[in-house]
Amino acid sequence: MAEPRRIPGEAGIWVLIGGEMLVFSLFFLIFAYYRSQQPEVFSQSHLMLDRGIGLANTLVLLTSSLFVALGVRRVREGQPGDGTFFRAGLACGAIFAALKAAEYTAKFSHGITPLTNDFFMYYFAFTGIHLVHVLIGSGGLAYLSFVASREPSPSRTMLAECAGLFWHLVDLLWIMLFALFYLAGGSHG
Amino acid sequence: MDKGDRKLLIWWAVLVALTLLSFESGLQWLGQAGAGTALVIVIALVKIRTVVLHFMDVREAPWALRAPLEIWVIALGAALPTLWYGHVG
Repeated sequence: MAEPRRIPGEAGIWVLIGGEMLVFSLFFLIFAYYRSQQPEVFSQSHLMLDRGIGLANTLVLLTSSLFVALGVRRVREGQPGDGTFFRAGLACGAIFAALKAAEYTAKFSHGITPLTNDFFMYYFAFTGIHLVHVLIGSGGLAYLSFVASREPSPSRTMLAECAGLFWHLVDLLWIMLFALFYLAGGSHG
Repeated sequence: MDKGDRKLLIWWAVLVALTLLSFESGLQWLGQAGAGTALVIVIALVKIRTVVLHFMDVREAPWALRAPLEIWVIALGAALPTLWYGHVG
């Protein structure tokens, strides 16, 4: 007989995730709309982003999601864990934040700010809000790396699943930000 | 590494492959460099759905949770290219 379907984590984390996905989808739609209104400005500005850093950050977050999923699996199955996978995910989060800081610094040093034009206003605003989510998620992973070494319990599993789900949310939101800001329009704008 | 770990590793490899495919050189390799934005958005949504189903374990969740997420992906897939190409507003 098939196992009954279950909700990963708890209902409350899904309310939060749903709200975040709705807010970010509004961001995506606003960006696409204003891109259609100012195609020249947006396509020239898009070419000024460092696509290599964008790609590196995408691969870093995807890899962090793999580590976190592997860690959550071990906690869920009651395996004795030492938090290694969560620390690896946390390290990926730190790399992401460092690359983003380097990217922002390079832009500011070239005189590019949120006031430059609408493209860069949305770029700094949306990726900045996303970076705050990375930092919050990193806090969750840091906590999990300690919790993972505790004795297996339902509360430990619930914590791991909820923090893991939030981290995957951070990953999936970046996937679309990367596509819209860095990739859409290609190397010709 | 058991079967469950291997599945996660395979989905990660799929996500990395899709990421490289959506880069300019990947689109050229596909012969789709001209399709550009619409294809990039579709690939991003396929990646998002993969994360939702296989990393967030929604494939095992009740449909009451899965259906709104599937609808979100489809709705963005319709709305984003439409707005991008300026067919609205």
